Amino acid sequence: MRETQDVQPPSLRAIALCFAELGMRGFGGLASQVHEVLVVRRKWLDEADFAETLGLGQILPGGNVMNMAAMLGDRWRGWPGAVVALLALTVPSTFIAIAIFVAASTAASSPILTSVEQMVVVAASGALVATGLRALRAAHDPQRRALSARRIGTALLVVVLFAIPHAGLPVAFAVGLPLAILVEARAR
Amino acid sequence: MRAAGLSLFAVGGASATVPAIRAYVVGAGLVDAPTFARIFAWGQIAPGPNILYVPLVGYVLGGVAGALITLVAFVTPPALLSVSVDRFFRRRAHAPAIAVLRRAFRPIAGGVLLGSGLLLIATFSHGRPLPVAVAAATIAVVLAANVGVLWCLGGAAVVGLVAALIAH
Repeated sequence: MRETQDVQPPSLRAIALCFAELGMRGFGGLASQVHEVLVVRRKWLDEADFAETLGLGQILPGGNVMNMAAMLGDRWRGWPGAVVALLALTVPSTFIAIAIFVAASTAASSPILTSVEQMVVVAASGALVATGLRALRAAHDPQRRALSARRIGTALLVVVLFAIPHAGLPVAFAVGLPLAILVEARAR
Repeated sequence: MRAAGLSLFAVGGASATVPAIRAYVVGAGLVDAPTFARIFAWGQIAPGPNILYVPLVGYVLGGVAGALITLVAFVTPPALLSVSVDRFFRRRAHAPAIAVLRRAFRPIAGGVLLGSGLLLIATFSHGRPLPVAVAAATIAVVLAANVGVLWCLGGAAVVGLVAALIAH
């Protein structure tokens, strides 16, 4: 959301290629892949922008990464950018999901396949945890230890509330967001 | 289609929508419960956003056309809302209240990522030590070595293959 990038925003073609690639990646938890592609490799976003945009995408209804794609595409290239980013992200991967679903429905499940699936899912979840830890690291400001501690405390409270079955996410937002706003407002 | 209304349930990512969508789709007798469970599992495993299990429901109901209609209906309302909110925030980027709000999103994003990752690990490990070790190794490798996530997933797939071969 910062307008400090003096580099040219990516072209529509670059947006299409990038989000199509993201649609092909992201087995269970796309956010860590978005971080790798947009922040680490392409450097179209910095850590703080990533965390802010993802946080907004999570709080708004809809898929978090799809919301991110719409917002980022619009920032770079207006409505056409948003449409291109969303189509590139979702249409190819919808067809792949259909193909995989059809193939899986016809094949019998094997213990080897189940074991491989399980390991891939937990590793993808581990990558989500790592991305979350990175976002927390970005919230840490060595100049302001008390503020950093309050930020990290808020995030950990969100983690705990999230774990409550069924009520998890809405409660985490309802408590976490006002608390986070309070922490930032008092920091001024 | 009716998916448009459902998309607004999806506060906070794909997994949050599952109970609402399941209640709606199964309750209306569109898809039976075991089929829904299978659709959801494969939507998770397939690449791309996890929320794409929703167009898979559309596929089961109405083929490829059903999937595409569901996709468009499901994607459009949240996208319009996201872009509008984001534009509003950027227009007022220098207002102190907006700056505070934007910074407040960071710990929320971090907390939700951490929480959902841990919850998924707990759910899919089934109390076994090996999956927990694989998850822990992935966290360490991604954080410390900046190795691409896809390499970690490939490595995890190999571990799963070897573990299954040893066990059988």
